[in-house]
Amino acid sequence: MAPLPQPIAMPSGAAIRLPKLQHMNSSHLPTQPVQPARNAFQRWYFKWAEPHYLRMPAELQAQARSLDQFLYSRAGAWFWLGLLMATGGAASGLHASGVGWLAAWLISLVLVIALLFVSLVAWLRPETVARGSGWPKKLLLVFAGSSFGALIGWVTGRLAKKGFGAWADLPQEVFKFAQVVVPAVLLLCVVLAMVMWITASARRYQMQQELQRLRDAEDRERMAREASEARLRLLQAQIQPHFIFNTLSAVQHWVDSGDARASGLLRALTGFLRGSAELMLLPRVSLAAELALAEQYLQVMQARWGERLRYRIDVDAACAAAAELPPGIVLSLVENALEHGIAPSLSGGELLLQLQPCSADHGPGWRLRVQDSGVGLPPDWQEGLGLGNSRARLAQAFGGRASLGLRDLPEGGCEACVTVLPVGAGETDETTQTSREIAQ
Amino acid sequence: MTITALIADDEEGPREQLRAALARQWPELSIVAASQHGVDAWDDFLEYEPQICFLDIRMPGLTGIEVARRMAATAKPPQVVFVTAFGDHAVSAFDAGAIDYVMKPVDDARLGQAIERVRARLQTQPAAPPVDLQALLRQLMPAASARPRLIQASLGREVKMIAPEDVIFFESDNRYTRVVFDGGEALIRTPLKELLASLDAELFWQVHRSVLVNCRRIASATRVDENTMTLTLKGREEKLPVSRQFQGLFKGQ
Repeated sequence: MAPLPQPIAMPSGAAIRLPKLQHMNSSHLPTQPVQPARNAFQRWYFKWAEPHYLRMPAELQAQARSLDQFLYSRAGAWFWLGLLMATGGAASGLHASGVGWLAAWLISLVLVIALLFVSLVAWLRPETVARGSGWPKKLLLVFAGSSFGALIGWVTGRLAKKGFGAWADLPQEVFKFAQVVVPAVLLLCVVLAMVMWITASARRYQMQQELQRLRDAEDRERMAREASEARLRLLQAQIQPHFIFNTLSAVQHWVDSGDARASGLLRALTGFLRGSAELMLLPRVSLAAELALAEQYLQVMQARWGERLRYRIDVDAACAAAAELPPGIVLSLVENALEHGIAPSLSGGELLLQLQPCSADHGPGWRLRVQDSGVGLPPDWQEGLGLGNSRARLAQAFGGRASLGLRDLPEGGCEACVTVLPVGAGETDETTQTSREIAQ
Repeated sequence: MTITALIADDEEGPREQLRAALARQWPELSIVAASQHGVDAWDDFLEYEPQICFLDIRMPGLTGIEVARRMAATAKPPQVVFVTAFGDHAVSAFDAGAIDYVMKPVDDARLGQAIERVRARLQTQPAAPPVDLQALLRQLMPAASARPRLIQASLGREVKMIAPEDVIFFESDNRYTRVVFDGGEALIRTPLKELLASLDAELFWQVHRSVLVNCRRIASATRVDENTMTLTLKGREEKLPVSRQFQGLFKGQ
């Protein structure tokens, strides 16, 4: 077992003397690259390599650097030793099967280097390798190259042994040589290709896993953040200072003047504040609870606005008790109707809050309308953030089953309509189509 | 001389709370009008000419800021104190500018300070508003939304659709408003004071409590005597009166 690679950056003495520092380094700055205290060779090497790194793509640079830092460190020496021994082993094997020492060493060295190189390329560029474009061409090139190299080697060897004579034996010798070399080179190519392919695939798989893991973590974090931001926004929207202080102003006056309306308004305000503080923190609330909150809000506003505001609530109680939705959506529709519809109207207006089941035979689908008889949408109206936010939250909760629309009413005023179709109703078309296909 | 004031808020509670607080802090002040929205406030101002106006900012019809701008352009601009709830974006601008405001629910001490300042300014008459008041108020106003609503006037059995820019002038006539336009004239039921909230103030000039005139149709303004001024219109016989409050609109350059 080789000793654990020591980071050359941190002389072992320092690590012992300053255990706390090292601990802090590893836990607080995990991505900070360690600046190595280099020896002369390393300094020379990295000085030479720096411009080469800079020409590489960013993700490759980091890999190449860490690889080099490993190879040219103390731990790297063990690697080189292993390499030497592997070459030696291969050479002695070849020698045992009748190859001369020099040739055996050369061949094993070439083999080991080729293997290393191929693995390295596959490791660094798994995408390019595993995509596998131009494999036959590349294989052919490698094959031709190695054959040519072998031929040169053989010719050189023959020249050294026999000089320029003995031409008569040549065809036979070429034939014998080819018999040995062609299968060997072919085998070599196939082995190299396989090593390369396997390394690249494994690496690619690992990278994809890692990427997926990162993406999942990021998604989870983003969703959690969005949810908490949405809740915060809702809470802020409920407890608008403008709303609170205008209401308190009325309460103050009615208390001062001994008006009996103070009590009712204070009760409605308390109920509304308690209700919104409770509901807004839940991920889902029952439609009945949300409607009750909206009614408390309407009571407060009615007390403030007097005759300027009239409202009517027409709710199917069973439907309201059964349905659930993210909190605050109904309330924000009612607030919008009051703020943008009825408040700007000189004569005030009427609000209708209506809930109906979608269709009896489909389970708990529902449709909620918030109608006001106010000033209607301005001619240059564009959907605001609030409505978009509500729509996004409905989509998150119900997918394609929910819709939210706003339109001008022909008789004046405006209507907001939330529809949540029953489960399965959204896919009705597909299901019937499939069953029809099966029937055919 | 009694000092007169106007209070405008679209909600009864804050309006009456302010009235009560003023009664405590400044018993001699005579509150001549308690208006229920911006249009009312403007109309009441023209009728009573109060020296001080306490204006809520968010009101239907005309906002407090719009009303203040109109007031600032008249011959005798009043002292304006805005009454606002915390959270109105305008508050920070008020802090920066020389504009008085009090927060709802009105606090006696804070109201007392505002009253002191207003009193001090009333004593150094003429109380011309600071030069930059107009600009500041304009800045505070929301970008004018396009209001190309047509005027629908019933003429016998037909309903005439009149584009605002084709109107020569509007004149308030009892419970109706007389609309004089290129093709004739008609009566509509919308009161003049409500109409002016939906018309472009740059185009339609109010020259009298009961007259709104398309400024492009004015041929000339003639001073008859110290207090009287009349307008002559292009291509029309009738002359329109300019009340004293608006004579400053025609001062030559």
